[in-house]
Amino acid sequence: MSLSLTFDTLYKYNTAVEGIEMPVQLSVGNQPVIVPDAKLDTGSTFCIFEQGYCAALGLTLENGYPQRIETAMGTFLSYGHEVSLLAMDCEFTTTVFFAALPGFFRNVLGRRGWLDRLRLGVVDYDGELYASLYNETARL
Amino acid sequence: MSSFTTNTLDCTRELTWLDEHQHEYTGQWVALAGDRLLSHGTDPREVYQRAREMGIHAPVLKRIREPHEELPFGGW
Repeated sequence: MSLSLTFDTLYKYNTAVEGIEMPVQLSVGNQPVIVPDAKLDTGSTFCIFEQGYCAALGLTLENGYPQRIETAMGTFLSYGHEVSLLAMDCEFTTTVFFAALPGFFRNVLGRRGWLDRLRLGVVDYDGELYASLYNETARL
Repeated sequence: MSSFTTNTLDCTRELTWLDEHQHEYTGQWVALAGDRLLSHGTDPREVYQRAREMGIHAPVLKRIREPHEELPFGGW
């Protein structure tokens, strides 16, 4: 038995860098900023960005929803804000979290608010990511 | 049937610029459009706004890390 899925978008990522990276656009109102190297992280519950992007968008970090995040080495505080997120031609409004740690450098696309909105396929050997919005038809 | 497209957000030129020049801006935020540096500094909001004032609707923004901070990522 074989299975097949269809997708609307292909992104070719650079297999020479650490992790699976892609550009992401975050917008609040008419103020978009592009994060050039967000990492796909299926192990992360949320989408988390360094706090400088929160400031760049004109948001006040502490006005967001406070959420403590657990890692293998401890926890850190973050704040959730509603933004428009565009990656791989898929755009929607969602809540992302900005780390309250000034030294936090990671920008990750996690499950809630991103992965759970998509159908996603990965062929890591070829550096290929395939995506469609979840609400679009996929044929099996 | 949906049409197949390639990803429209493309930061290839910005990432090439970062590879070649980021060591000059360690500890700062840089705003880029293609291979063009728009602004830089330690305040991300100011860097972003200066880039917007130059007519760039959606600048690429990136904080430049110290080289020793670039380690393999172990996930969460």
